[in-house]
Amino acid sequence: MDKQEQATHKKQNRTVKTAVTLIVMVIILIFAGIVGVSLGPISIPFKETILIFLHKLHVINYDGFTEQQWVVITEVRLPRVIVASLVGAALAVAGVSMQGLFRNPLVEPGYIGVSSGAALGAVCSIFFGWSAMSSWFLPISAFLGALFATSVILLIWKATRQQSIAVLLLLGIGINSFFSAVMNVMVATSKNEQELRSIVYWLQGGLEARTWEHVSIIAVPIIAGSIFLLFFGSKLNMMLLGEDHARTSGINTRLTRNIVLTIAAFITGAAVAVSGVIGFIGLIVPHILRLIIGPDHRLLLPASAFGGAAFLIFADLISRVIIQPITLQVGVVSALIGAPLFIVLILRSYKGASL
Amino acid sequence: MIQVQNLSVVLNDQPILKNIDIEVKSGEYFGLIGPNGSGKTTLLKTIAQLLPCEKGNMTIAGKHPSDYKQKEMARKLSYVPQDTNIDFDFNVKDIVAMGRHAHGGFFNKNDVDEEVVQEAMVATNTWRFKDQSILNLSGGQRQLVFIAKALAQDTPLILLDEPISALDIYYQMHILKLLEELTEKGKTVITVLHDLNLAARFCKKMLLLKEGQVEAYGETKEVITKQNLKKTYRIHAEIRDDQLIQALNVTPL
Repeated sequence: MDKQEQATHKKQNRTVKTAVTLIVMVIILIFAGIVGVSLGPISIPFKETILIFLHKLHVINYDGFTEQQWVVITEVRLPRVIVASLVGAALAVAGVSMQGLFRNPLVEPGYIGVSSGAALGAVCSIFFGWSAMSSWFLPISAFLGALFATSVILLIWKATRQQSIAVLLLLGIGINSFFSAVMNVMVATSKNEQELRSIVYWLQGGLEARTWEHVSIIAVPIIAGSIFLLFFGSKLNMMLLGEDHARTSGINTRLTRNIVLTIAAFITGAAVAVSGVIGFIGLIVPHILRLIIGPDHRLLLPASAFGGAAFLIFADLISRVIIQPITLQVGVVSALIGAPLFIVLILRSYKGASL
Repeated sequence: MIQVQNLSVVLNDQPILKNIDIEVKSGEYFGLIGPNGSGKTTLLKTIAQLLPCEKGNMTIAGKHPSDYKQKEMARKLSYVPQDTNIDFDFNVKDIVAMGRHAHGGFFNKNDVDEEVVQEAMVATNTWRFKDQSILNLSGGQRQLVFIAKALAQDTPLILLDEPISALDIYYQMHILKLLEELTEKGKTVITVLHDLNLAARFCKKMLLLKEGQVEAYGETKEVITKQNLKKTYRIHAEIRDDQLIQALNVTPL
């Protein structure tokens, strides 16, 4: 009886911890969203922002705002903040899934060619002038590039006998350098200044001038993909114990790996398609959260989605306001924060590193 | 329970096991012994379907392994590996509870599972550190945790790879007796053991491997003989029937 009570007590503790963590993450995300929408060259008070939000959601009827505030919020900043949160969530969820899969906290989606493939696709579309034809062409070709690169890597990998993780990561590094060489050729042979600028700009990763159209391109793939990955929480936990444990506990490790990798590539591709290459989020956000809430993927996956979203909103905010009137690229800000953290991370995780 | 016929295993172009024929019946306490590098772990992993076999045939509970889905297989056999190193900060009870995966549906978790997990942890004396991180445990404690995980998996066949290698003398006896009780309840235990005295005391049947081949196979008395130990381990040993524990006693000379 006593032990049973203890067991239920423990279970309740877990539920409480999960609930508290997720509520805190949601609050952080909402806070990030409000700050992100309020701040900028035209500053709008937080209270006003909240009221406009509530009005837009038809919760209350409020008309104390100016036309300009309404346009700035709903047409300029809100889509940008939503794109930032979707991209951040996608990168963090893809990162945490892959880290679980490879039992290595230093892995991120870029390592299986997703980012460089998407980048190459996007650069191609700028270089060959497709992006000028329709605003859908750049994201679509980035997405196809991501899919292509990942498929090539996974196909070569599957042809190898051992299918070891080291081989996969090395293939990723190989493809990444090859693609970046091809992109350099394109940059070098680019005929006009404008084209060159937009290629470089895109490669650095940015969220400027993102519209509702961008939101509509990525919302469904990212949200659906992320929710799908949430169901793999307990499987990823068992993969962390090692291949032998996972398989003898009833996990079809090969199938799980293929599904998780494909979905991770899919949502990363969608993210990179509209934001350009933004590094380190898939690495930093899961790691910080793992330190705080532990390695349990059933909690870590949703927490990373919210954390990644909030992180990218803040990074984007910093990029807009830190050296006004100059706007830094959000990819640059993310790397400025992320790279030093990454180095600290490597130094600290020497014990678990199996690269 | 398990039938292995003419099994050969090749790893990295090296033949590891050659023409192994064994049969382990339900409720048997079966020992795998042999010198280092003789193929004990490879055989155990092949039975656990963690390694592909080059040729030969195997049936588990009457069915070919490929006829099982991964989860069905995990309800038939559990496996305790030799290596218990974990780099991730899970708490002990969570790890044991992972043994229940094969019994759950897609959205698993029920109260029966809680009870089974607790029972397995109490039996292995790991319940007292259920809330601790696995990273804080000693090698021996980790070994007990993974034995608890296999017990929680509640399978008719339990495969163990040197399950007592990091345990003190109290827990060595405790675990080997626990496995004995399980075989008395009808479960089948196949375990790799290095300690010949303990193997002789608990295992009713044995396989002695030498360089990937069967050197001796059968009742413990037929396997643990002077000649066999001399041929495989290159030791001179005296083997006596110990009346106190009613088992063979191996004393290397």
